[in-house]
Amino acid sequence: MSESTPPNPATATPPTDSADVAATTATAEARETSELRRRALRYVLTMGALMAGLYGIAYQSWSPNAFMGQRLIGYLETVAQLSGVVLRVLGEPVTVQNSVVSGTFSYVVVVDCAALDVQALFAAAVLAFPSRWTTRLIGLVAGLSAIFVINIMRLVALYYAGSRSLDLFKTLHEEVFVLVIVGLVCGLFLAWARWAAQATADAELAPTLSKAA
Amino acid sequence: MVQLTNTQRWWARLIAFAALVTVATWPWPGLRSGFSAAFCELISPVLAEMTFDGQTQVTMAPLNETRPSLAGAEEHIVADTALTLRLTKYRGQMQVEVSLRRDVFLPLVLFTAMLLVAPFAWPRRLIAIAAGCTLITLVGIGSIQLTLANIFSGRIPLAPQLSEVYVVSETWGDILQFLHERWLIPPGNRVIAPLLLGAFAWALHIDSWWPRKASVALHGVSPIR
Repeated sequence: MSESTPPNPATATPPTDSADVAATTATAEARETSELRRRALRYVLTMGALMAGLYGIAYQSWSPNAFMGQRLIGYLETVAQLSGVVLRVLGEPVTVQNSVVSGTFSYVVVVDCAALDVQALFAAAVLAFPSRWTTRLIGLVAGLSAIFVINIMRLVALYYAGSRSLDLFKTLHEEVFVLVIVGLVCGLFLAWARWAAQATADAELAPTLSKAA
Repeated sequence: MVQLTNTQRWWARLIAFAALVTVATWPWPGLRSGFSAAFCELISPVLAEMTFDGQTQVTMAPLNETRPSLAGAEEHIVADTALTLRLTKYRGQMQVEVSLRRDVFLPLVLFTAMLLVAPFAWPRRLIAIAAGCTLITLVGIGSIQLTLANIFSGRIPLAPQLSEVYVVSETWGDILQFLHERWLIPPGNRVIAPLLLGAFAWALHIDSWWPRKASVALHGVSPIR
């Protein structure tokens, strides 16, 4: 195929031995692929290790009197209070006591309902991503806040589902929302990663550009 | 023939993934009980061996109808399968209900769908699916064993008689409980773990889908130089 292709004037002297070029290209591609694979695997494994660490903290059965136990209970109560606020704004006659939301349908916000697993996933994915610390920090704050809000919306939707049909509630609670939230978190991460990669590239180029100017 | 841009191809993969997952997890009649029956067949030889020196007899069978499970302190799931626990020195039995649809079927579907939409050659794809599904199934079996070990060591308190069966050191008991709390309690693990496994497979076969630059760089050899 290369014999029938006219030489490209934009390139330097065309290679004379096409077999050598093919071999060199193949070697370069193999090296590049190997490096890419190494980096990708390192990323996935680092993320997995970070996630395991965050799980270790979040899912420890803390004593209610311990510092972490009190923080966790406070967090669950905040989630319950805020979901109650949203429901009241939407005209639902709900009351909230500790982490129990009572109304047409009642639910308790327990550790499983706090979206701690997806928060750990997101935090691990962001922390393991090769970018600047400020970029990671922005991602963490924005992403974790978004997940918190998404989880409140999930609880509100579950309240409405539970008020209408227990079967619908179960399906949404056990399968659909778990998938949807993880999907949204993956989307959030991809959006952040795209921005972070661009921001990192811009930051690396900035000194060169300012020098050239 | 319509030529898709790179972005369009990724969207098409995402839509195909969502469609596959929706179809496979749709509540088709018989699917839930069928999967449960198949998994129970698979795990029964393992459970038959897991007798804690002949002290216990555990069987697993699909439930005739799904029902909310109250096994575990704060877990209210739609159970499709029951573990029946018997002790040789006591009469009577106890049931622990689990959702195999949630714990095994859903992870299998997610992983398989993720690999089916992957831009791998078919032999690679099939090997990856077979390896991943085998791993998920083994982890599913291990999760049942982990639950039983926690019950029979008293780390999941169901009945005083059950907690005296598997005598473990404090450290080993803590490890069992640690694994139970981190692996089985977080509900998102059923989705996150297969997706991470899928990501691992994608990373392993990155040469199939990552755009290469080496050939371009070599063919268009530096006109500047």
